[in-house]
Amino acid sequence: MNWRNRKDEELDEEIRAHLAMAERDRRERGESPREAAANARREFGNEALVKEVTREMWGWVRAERWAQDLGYGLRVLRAQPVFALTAVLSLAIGIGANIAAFSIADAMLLRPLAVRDPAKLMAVHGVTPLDGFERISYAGFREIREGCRSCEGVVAHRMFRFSVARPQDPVPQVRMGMQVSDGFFEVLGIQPRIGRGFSADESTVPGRDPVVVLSYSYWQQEMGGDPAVLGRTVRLNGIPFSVVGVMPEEFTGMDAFLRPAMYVPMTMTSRLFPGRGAEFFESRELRDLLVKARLKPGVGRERAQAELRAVAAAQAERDRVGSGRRTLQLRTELESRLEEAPANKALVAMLGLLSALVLCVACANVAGLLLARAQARQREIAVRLAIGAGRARLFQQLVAESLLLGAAGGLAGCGLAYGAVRWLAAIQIPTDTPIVLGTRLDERALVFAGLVCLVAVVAFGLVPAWRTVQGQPGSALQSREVAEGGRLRLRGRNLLVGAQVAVSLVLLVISGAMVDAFGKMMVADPGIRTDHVMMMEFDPSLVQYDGARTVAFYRQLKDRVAGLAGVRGVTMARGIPFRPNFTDEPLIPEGYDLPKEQPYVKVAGNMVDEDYFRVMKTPLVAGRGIERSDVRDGAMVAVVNEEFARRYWPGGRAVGRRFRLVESGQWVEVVGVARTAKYLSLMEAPTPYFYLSLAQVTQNRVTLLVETEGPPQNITSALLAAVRDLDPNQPVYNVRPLDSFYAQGVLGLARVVLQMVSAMGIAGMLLALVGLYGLVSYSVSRRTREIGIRMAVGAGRATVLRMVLRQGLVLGVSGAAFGLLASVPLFRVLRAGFSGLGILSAWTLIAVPLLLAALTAAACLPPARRASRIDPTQALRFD
Amino acid sequence: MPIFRKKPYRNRIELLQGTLDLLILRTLKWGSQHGYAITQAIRSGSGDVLQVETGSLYPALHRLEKQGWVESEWKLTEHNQRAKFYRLTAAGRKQLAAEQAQWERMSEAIGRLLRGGAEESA
Repeated sequence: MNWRNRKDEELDEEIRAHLAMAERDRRERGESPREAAANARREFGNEALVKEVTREMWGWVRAERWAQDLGYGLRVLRAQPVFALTAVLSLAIGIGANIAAFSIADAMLLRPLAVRDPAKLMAVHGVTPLDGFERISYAGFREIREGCRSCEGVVAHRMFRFSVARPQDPVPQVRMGMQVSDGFFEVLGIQPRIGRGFSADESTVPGRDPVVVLSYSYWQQEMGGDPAVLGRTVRLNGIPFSVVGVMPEEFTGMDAFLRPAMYVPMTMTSRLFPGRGAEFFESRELRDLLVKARLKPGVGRERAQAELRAVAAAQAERDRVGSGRRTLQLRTELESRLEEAPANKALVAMLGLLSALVLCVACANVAGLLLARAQARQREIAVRLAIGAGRARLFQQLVAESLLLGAAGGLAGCGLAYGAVRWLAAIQIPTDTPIVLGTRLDERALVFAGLVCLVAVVAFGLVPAWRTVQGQPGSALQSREVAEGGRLRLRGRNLLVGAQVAVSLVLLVISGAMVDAFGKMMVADPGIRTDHVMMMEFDPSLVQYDGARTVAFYRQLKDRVAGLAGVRGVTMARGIPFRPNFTDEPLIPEGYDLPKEQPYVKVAGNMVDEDYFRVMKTPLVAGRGIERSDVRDGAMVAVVNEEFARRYWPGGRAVGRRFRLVESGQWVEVVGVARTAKYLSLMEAPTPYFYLSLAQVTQNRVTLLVETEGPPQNITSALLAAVRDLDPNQPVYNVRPLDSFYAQGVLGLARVVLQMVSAMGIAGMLLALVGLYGLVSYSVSRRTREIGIRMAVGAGRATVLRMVLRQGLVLGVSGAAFGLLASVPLFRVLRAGFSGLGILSAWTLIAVPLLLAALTAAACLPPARRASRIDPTQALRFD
Repeated sequence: MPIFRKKPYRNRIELLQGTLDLLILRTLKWGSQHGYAITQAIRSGSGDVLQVETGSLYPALHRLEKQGWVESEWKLTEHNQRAKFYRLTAAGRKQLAAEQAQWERMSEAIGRLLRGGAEESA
């Protein structure tokens, strides 16, 4: 603006000089000074106007005009509140759906880690023919660090479960923490909020320094955000650790879902887990670390990848496994998230597609409204064109109105999305160790919202604006109805509304199919009972129990609980289905032809006691279950599920066959076959599974499942009292009825997705109906005169009603037909990425179009009735 | 509701634009001049027939300056009056030659047309 002021002053002076020279000439010609001044001014003309026109040449007018047009647009929109509200609401729904979908995608996949320069931080995994995301042993991690010369730094981390007690806590809690290698905070580039990270010797000398860095949320929630927390002590697995720092709020760990409560140096492993230290640091088979490498600036990842290949080759040679069996793979964070969780990718893609379709319908709606208004404004535009307004200028002004609509819709959409995101953020998978979906509306989402708004404005605003200014002033001024242009525009709107109906049908079919699939899933039999069962988890190793003491503790516990009033049965298992707290076990089924390049198969399993199948109501179809006699000294036995038997021993009896556990080398004899259930997700295909006898393996973490007569929560206090009687220091966690865990933990996320998908389907349909209603009402209002004439020459009200209804129905039905045709191939594409979707059911294919047709008719009814009530005498007196 | 400000001078500039530009460039051919001197030169040069309105002159000068055909500097006149002097640039000289040639072709063509018309009607 400074430049502008200077130019203004210069122009003033230029004009003053002009006047002074003119005055001087006049005085020299003999005019009196007064006359000279007055005449010079008169000759000069309107000084202000000259300045104004001159200023226009500087090119600043453009911005001023935009400001002017936006102001005018605001007044126009305020003068037509119904139009403005409908348009803004449509856009808000369309844009809001996209923002919400984006923030889910962001939380699940896209958001980068809160570290310095996240693009340079790569994940390193082992890749074998069986596992693309193998973790890495501590020794392997050191070798990567030495071998990767293009890396600025290489660090390792792993999540672990531990008990934690503040000095005032009588009973320890169980939390998730992160063990980190030396240099972890430095290489990631994270500055502690208060205090410090770990010093070099703290994280390299084994077992010497019990120091801990707290996460922001633990500090806030459990320490009251006390700034004097440094130097205080917390007991981790019974050992006092002193707090040296607190992480910043934005750093919540290295995983989108699992958030550690605190960080400890990896060197403390031997103290935290007595007896495991040497194994942890030396074993090459204990692959439990996630490794991250930061590339040096200016170094391409190909070079780092080549160095990793060399490291992997050296490792393979030393371990004498065939070369090429196990390599090391460098991936960006996004790559590994996408590859590791293809289901998430499919879900995100699906939500993105649905929300884009909703936006399409919304934009079509607004475009339809604008086209209708273009017709109504034809006169105004014609008058303006006739008195000399430029078409470009009018166009600009209409675009300004669209921009306003887009901005208002975007703001309202952000509001809607904010509500949705708040609601999503409230969803937590119910465990004591928090797993959260961190949806939030941050600046990334806002940038995305801005982009969506712009796309929407282009989509709905440009064509109507262009059409509006194309009219010929002459014809528009002559008559009220412009026959030819009107017909053309109506055809455009017909197409638009037909397309809307088609798109909304696609939306409905997809969301209907998803509702169908999820609905089936929710009532699907998970293969275990969930009612009248209380669950409770233990891990005596956290309070330094050894093996014998653990076994004794569990035996006493089970006896005690079985004796409580109201208890029907008690069983213990390593885990329960739907909790991924057991890993796939590599094993070799005897007599099974392993595919090439595959030394073993990986099968998920559980360890259960003799009461499990009875209490959890998992039926046995052959052989026997686990029995009390299956103890440590006896032969290892297992129960497999039907899918296991079918896949590995097709056609034969499974009972009596054997398989070998690869890690321990033990042979296990199959003694029974259980019905196949669901184990990780309700959407999964039948999966092989096996059960070992809990008494034949090391028992650390165990879930106690108590079958009750009454509501399971009634027994909680009696259960806790029983535990406290045995050992008051024993940490207990995830004490909750199995059905509530199941409802929230298993169905919760599915339900969210389901609700979002149905919300989008319904939003799209409502928007399309509004569009159809708008079009039919509009055409009725345009045809008032025609309808009046028809009635005057004898058409009955019913005829008129039918005529208008037919117009709407033809549009609705043909749109629906096109939508149906389009949705079949589209659905096939979707199903390829989303296996749980099943096939298009007859229900979806018949019910949805019928529903849409009925709603179409309903939307056309009000304008049709209005048309049938037209009074011919009134209508013909029009104009 | 007035939607656009009226700009009565604008149309006239558009009408005169080509001619006025030519006259201004031509006036500046023999040296730099300020706005007032340019109006005087055009008026006396045309035998008082052409009168340039300030409302056309200044917008034209500023536009020519933006296009790079003239450049300006503040100097003192012989009467010690500080004024903004405009001077032709190299591009302006080329533009003047082009416009002058075109103008001559056109006036010749129009003249021939008018003369031809007069012969026919005779």
